[in-house]
Amino acid sequence: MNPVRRKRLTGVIIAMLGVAIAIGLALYALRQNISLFYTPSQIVSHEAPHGRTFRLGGMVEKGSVKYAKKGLLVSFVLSDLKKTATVKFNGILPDLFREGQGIVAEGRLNNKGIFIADTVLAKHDANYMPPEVKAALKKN
Amino acid sequence: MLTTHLQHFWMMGGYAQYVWPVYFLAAGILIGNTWSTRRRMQQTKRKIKHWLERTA
Amino acid sequence: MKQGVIWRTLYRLASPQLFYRTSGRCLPWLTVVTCLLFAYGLLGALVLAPPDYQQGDAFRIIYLHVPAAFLSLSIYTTMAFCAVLSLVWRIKLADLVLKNAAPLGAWITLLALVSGSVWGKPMWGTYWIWDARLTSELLLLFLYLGVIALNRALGTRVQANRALAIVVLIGFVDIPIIHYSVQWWNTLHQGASLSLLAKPKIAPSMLYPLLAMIAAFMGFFVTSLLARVRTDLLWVEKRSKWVTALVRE
Repeated sequence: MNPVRRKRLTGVIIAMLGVAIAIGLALYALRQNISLFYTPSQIVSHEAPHGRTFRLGGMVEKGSVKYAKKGLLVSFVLSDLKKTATVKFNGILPDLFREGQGIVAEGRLNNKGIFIADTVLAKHDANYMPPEVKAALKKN
Repeated sequence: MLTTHLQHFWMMGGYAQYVWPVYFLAAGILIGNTWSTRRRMQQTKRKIKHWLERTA
Repeated sequence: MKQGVIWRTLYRLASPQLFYRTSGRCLPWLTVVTCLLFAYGLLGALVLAPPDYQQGDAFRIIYLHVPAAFLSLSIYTTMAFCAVLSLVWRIKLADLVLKNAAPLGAWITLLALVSGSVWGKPMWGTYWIWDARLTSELLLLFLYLGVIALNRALGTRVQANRALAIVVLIGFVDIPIIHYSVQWWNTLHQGASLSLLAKPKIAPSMLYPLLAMIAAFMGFFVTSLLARVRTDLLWVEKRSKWVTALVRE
């Protein structure tokens, strides 16, 4: 490579590194703002905000979903495999909502530490398979 | 028999209103881009011809 | 020694006439292969693949969403590569490739965003959420639009090409952010189903049509890009003898 091009290439690389480091630092500083939701562990450790709306994400614990006798009121327990939080929601759940499924709820904590959700969104995993395969997997 | 099959296919298990618009949009984007690429080639050749006639 | 040969071939391929002739010979083949891939891919996507165990037939949107999203990143990477070729080696052909890739990238990114949004409504329960993956992909659309607008505003001067290449390289920071967003932050968007190193998280009967669609989208991009660059090349080189001869035919 001739010296002029080598110089230009070094310039390009250094400039790119500079931009990448600057943006990397900014994103690192803003990481909690960029993350979509808080986890149940963060509620327990008081990292989650009090008295204002935020999003809470986790897995719906098996056997924890309880529907009210009348109306759409539902309560369930969200877990991040370390800590849990109880959520109450009054509304229509998305198609993918089920036990063992990841969800993201938006709402706020009440005085008793229960999360009162205004919206519930389902998170789905990266697995795709035909129903027969899923059934066979369950059997094993 | 065939029509019920086609109807079933068109229903997309109840998700037709989500699946088909996306497929039509994709077709529109792919075909539209291909069409505009071809047209630009023809236009450019014509433009160069005119340009050559004027400068010659 | 060997390096010299590679560079010489590269430089020669960057000569307008040779590029025009070689690409002209490849284009019909590429078109046929792309059409075949689309034929199999679409048949697989809509008919052969079984419905998903959780998402039913709504999952068929994956056959457009994943190829479009993948291509939106590949096109920008191609542009960034051309920007380096342009800045460091001053290869004129690289500028033409960069400029012609941008509109294609914008359309494909739009498709990735819209298909994902329409898919999100029945599955997640919302068309849009400002999570890291969706936001960084939207930023990519604006990067493409910015490059297109800047190109229109600056014209064809040498300084303009340089400015454009620098803007493309700065924007390239967004590409790893999009790719790793689902690992670095909590997002509503799930992780990758396909990656080079890990076993795919998608059943084989669903996977093959997906791979075919990804290849078909790549084929579409390469074919369109070559055809567009050839058009620009004719215009730029209109004073040369070979173009005169070609147009007069």
